Amino acid sequence: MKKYSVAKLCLLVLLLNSCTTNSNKGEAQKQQQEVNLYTHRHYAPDQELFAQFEKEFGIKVNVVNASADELMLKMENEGVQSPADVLITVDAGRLQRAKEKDLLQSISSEILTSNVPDHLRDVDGHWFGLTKRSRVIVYAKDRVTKDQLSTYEALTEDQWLGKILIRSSGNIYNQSLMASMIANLGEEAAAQWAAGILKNMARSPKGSDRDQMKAVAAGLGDLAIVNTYYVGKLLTSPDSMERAVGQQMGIFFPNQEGRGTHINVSGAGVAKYAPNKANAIKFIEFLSSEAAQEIFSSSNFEYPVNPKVKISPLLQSWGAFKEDKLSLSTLGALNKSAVLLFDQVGWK
Amino acid sequence: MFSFFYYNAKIDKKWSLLTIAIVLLLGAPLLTILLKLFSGPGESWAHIKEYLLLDYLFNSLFLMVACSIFTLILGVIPAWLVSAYSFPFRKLLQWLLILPLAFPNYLTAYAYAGLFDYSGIYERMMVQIFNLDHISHIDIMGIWGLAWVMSFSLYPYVYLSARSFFSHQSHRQMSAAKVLGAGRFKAFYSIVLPLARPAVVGGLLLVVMEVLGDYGSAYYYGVSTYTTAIFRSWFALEEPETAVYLSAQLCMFILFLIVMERSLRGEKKYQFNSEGSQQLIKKTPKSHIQAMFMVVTIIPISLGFILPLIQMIYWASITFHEVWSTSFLSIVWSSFYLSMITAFICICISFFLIYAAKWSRSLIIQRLSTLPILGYAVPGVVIAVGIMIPTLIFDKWLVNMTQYYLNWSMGFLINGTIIGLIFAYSVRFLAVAYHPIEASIQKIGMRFEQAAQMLGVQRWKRMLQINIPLNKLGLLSGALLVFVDTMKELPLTLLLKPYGIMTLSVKAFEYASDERISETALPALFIIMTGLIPIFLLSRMMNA
Repeated sequence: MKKYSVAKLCLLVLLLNSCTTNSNKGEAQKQQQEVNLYTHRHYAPDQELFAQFEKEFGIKVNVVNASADELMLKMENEGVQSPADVLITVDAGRLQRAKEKDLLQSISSEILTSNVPDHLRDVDGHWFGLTKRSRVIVYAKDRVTKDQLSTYEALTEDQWLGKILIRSSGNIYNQSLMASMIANLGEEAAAQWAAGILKNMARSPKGSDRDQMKAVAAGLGDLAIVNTYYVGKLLTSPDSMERAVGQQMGIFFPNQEGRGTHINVSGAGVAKYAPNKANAIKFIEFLSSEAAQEIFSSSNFEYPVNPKVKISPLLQSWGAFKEDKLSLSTLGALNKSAVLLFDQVGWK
Repeated sequence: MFSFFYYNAKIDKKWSLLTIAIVLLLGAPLLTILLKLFSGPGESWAHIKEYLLLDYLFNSLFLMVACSIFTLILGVIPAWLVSAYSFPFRKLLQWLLILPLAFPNYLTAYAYAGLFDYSGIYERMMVQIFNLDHISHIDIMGIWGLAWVMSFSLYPYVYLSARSFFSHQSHRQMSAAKVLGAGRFKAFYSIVLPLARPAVVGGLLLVVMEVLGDYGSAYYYGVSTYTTAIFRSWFALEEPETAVYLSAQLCMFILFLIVMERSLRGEKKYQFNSEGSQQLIKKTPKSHIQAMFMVVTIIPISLGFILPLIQMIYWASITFHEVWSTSFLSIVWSSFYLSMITAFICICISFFLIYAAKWSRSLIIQRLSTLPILGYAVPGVVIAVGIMIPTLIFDKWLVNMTQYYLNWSMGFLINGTIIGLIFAYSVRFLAVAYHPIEASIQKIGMRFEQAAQMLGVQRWKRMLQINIPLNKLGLLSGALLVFVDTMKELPLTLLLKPYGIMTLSVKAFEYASDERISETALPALFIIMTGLIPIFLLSRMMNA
């Protein structure tokens, strides 16, 4: 009698297990042409683009969405057996980190070298930028005029005491900006800059880039440092109040007289152990092509990396700007120093 | 006391072995993490200690204390009112009070941020109706705001355990107090409340674990806690060693809390006779007091559930056409079945462990069987990694073996499959099922067991045929809690979910990390709605 009950329980567990395994093996064994994508990007138009790629090349795109850090961790752990073919992140720092962790492989593709400008891709061909975003100063149009603004460095002046809004140092875009400061000015000056910004902050850093602009609109401060595409998102928000916030913001591209405005890219690299390497290259080439670039960049109000592609009307209305040509690999290399400096000056 | 009874060492050994096997399996991820404690932190540890650690410690402790106090007030008072008094809508309010459980606390945090945002409902009201130009702005995004949000979303843990004690176990004490001439309030304060301590502290422990494990809300509100420190040192400082070291410390701290709780409970096992399980007779107070009681019970419901829900519904209404699609339903379905399977596995394992420990004569087995509940104390992302490390070794070995011997190339069995994900969920949420089941088993006591044993009924049979039906309510509430928690789970799912499977929480996260907070509303509402179904069923059963 006892054995009977045990058996019942075991059977139940087995049954449960076999149900779940079968469904998985089925997927793993598919022999179809495919490319496995590990991506941090998750915008609806991207999906349409992938569908277009599937149709054009007959290669199925399998997508795993998570934050870049988690995806890299996953790849690290999976090692040789990793199913990942392509890694897409939304900042160059992490692509560089993936390269340093030996998660990517070097590829040579004439299409990619002609489509992507030098400073927006890795020297060794480990990764390629696909869309550009710039981190700019936005200001309340009713309180600040353009000629009061000049550079990132000038924001530490006393006239902006209690006027600046910027998010926490945990944010990768701030880390990259800080890394560019270190690269351009040296550690000491960069630390002084961070301390100066901290002194001028309207409140302790919190919330998202959008929240910073909302606080500016509400009069908590006059300036915010944000990525351009968040202005685009506010302007096209379904919420009327958010649209109003967007309309109150002026966009200023700093350091135009000098090195240019800090930019970053979202980009892709081929995974070191990519089981479908050829498909992976085809896929990245496709994303850098003129046809794809327009959709890929505009899906998130970003700038295309391919210089032949025209930018969207909204972005055009913000004007052309000079970008900091600092090699984006440097940002990744200096990321950790940036984080340590932030902690030292007490920028939360 | 068991020495009078027949004792079979052979059977005991089998049970002990099975217990050890389960504990080892569930403990493997934690063991992996704890072993890393010995390899020490990375080189950034000095930096963290100098600039950050104090902040992390202070914030985490502050949140822990503040949320404990708030959830105690928000949980115990309504629990007492609905158990001891009769007032209009009492039955409805009694189950409405559980509803915040269906709301993941990171979503409550987003909703509150939206409500008190510069373009939020509150601000609009102040500016447009009262013409106050942003002077009245409430900055919810800070440590107090975080404590507020978390307390209102977590109090049901305390409420549930307190109510179950009050309504089923306090009848005799109240009668005795009444006979001796004490008023209801005095009897509650000086007799029932102290007796309810083990139940309440059990609920409180869950709250504290949730608070310490939270990442989403704290990160969004800009509060550095121990958990955000884990993420920061892992990803920003690129030192997994330091991150694992910090999580090991956090784990030790929770272990300390659990030991404290056990010793607080001490030898006092508040087991009462079957008359004790009689429902407390409800008093009907004067009508103005009834109204007051209604208001008091409505407050936690409105602030923990209705208000954030309104915000989510508003957001959903403006983003519905963007988010809704047919694939959305498949997301709902995968979240649902993942949670169902996890809930089932968790109650089976918990029940077995508790039952085995109860009958074991070995103190080691008894202690050992409580270890897997530690999983709840560890942040999801750490568990995910703790699972990845050992299972990858196994998976790679398995792949090589099948390739070599069977010439059959199979994928990973655990990593990136549903098995790995559910295993991780079970490690994480076992404690959630464990506590109500343990409370239920303790309440039922040993008398039926002993009677059945004297009649020669074997242990397996006693477990399946006597204890499972007797503890039906405890098992169901355990399953319910696990189900809802799995629906809400995020960081672990992000790391371990297989290809082609999308869950509601991941979908919501994607929108939020995109700064499209308003688009999180639709998946959020589905998490809440699916979470409501079992809550509704359970409350029906409790009333029946």
